[in-house]
Amino acid sequence: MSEAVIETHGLRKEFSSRGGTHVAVADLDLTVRAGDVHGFLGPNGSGKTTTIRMLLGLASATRGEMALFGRPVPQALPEVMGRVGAVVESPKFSPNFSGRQNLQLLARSVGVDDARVDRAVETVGLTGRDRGRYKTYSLGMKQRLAIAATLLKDPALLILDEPTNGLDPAGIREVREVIRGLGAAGVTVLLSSHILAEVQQVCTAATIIGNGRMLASGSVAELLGSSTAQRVVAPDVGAARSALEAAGLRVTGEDGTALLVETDRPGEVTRVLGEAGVWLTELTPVRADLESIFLEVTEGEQLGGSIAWPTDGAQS
Amino acid sequence: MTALLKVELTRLLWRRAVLVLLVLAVVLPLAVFVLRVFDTRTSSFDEVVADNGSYVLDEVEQCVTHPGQYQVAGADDVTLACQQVVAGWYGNSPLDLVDERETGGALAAILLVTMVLLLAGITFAGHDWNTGSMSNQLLFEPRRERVWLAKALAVGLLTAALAMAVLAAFWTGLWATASIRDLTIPEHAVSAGYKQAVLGAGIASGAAVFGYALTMLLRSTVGTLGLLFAVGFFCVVIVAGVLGLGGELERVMPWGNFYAYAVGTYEYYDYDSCGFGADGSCGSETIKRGASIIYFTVIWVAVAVPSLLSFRARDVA
Repeated sequence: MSEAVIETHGLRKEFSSRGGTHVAVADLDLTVRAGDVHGFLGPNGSGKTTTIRMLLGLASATRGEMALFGRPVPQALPEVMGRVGAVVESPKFSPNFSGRQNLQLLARSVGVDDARVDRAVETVGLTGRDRGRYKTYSLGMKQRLAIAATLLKDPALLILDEPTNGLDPAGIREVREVIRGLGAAGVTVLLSSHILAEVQQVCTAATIIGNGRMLASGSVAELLGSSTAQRVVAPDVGAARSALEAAGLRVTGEDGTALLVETDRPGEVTRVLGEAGVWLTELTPVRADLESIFLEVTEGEQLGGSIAWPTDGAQS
Repeated sequence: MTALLKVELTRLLWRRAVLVLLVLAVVLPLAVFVLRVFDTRTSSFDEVVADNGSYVLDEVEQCVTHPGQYQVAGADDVTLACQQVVAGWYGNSPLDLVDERETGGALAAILLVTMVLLLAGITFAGHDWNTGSMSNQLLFEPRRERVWLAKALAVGLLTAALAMAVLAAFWTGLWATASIRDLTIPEHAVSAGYKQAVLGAGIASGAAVFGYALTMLLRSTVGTLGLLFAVGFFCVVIVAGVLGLGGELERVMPWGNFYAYAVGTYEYYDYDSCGFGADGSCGSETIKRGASIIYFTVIWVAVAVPSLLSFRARDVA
């Protein structure tokens, strides 16, 4: 197993206010391995951004341990930050400076030359617009500038907090392509999102949190699991049902023309029906998606906020 | 740290609001200088008559009639002597470098530069918080104390250089004007003026860093300006009420300490002691420059240290 690039153990963040203490992150254990594009899923207000802010030293942890590249943070942040690029929430730059000026200031603070600024601008497709004032940028351009800023350091780890928020479908597609490209280039990515389709399409692993607690974690394949049900279409649905149930298979649904059979062995279905003389016209494995996984793991959780289900416009 | 300092100096100079204030720090003292040069120009008798009306002529007539009362008796040309005396009363006072340093334009220039650069420091820090770009900067340099110090150093160095240049130019201008007008320049007046320019640059730069530090503490331009206005309006009440000071109130007021710092000493009357002296007069007290330096240093440290500690410890949005 590859080394852990991000690790948290018992990470907790409490905010005190007049109304009492609000727990934003509750004893979170998170592991992101090198080379993963790791989705960090949860509804708005579930603690994703707070966790990221603690990892990056922008917020202090109430208790718990964190490490980046095996080094404890925030203590070792100065030595590891050069390998970390991050966008936290919405992009935040000086509005009256040009995109290029904003990048130059950040680059020079870490001793990076202007050639790297040129490359970062080119990578995110802002060439030609980088000399315009930041306040004149569209939201998509702002997001791309923020991603360009993360590339100034040639990072081994990218932490992106809701990078496609507010983007139109074309912008979402562009940002996803950039993330895919970085992942393919070996950059470890932690992608915080409440858009399930985004995580499912881009990520190799995912962690689902709710109310600041980890609910599930693993590779996307593990989370989705293998196919656990088969959709069976046959001319005589009733005969098919009888044959399958007689063979001990569990039929969990019927809509008049098709059956839903709970099994991960489609060959067993064809064998049983064939022996009973019922000929299939269609056999389709039914795969779980992150939506159903999310609903399953959050069942019984009182989750605030909202989760965005896949829509045609949001998919690439 | 050098790279960070250069970045902060660049950030400072790229910020338009700060640039406008830096330009004001040049233009306002220049305006004071022009006014002082204009107000101290030598006026002809005809100009004095034109400015002040016919009673100047009446005064000259009185003088010619009673030259003894005007101390011009025995003059070769009594009328001319009377015109000079009366023009001296009604016309402009000549440029006096000592007066300029102690009560005049030089003091006003220091005050204006200090106020404008205080605003520049506030604006510089406030912009980072208002736009949220501070968090972005910390993603590149997580050592917060270095960020705070680099910004403070950038503000301090730039404003010190600008204030020094402006105030030295102001004083050089006064000196040149006095020389061109063939006025008597008292011994040490010029060196004292340049010493005051150095002191002025010190307090102006200190005020700029103070404004920066206070804004870094409060994380809001509006909050900082509001607090400063509130203190400006209510400081007398606060100091009198909280510290229980009466006649000694002036000892802890900014103006007297500013004057003592810029000029050397500030004398004020302790009104609590009025009528108790042998002659019934009020006793006077003096603030010396050393005491005023301690006064401003205490205020500066009381803001700068919590500002740095707070920036290190508090979450950044």
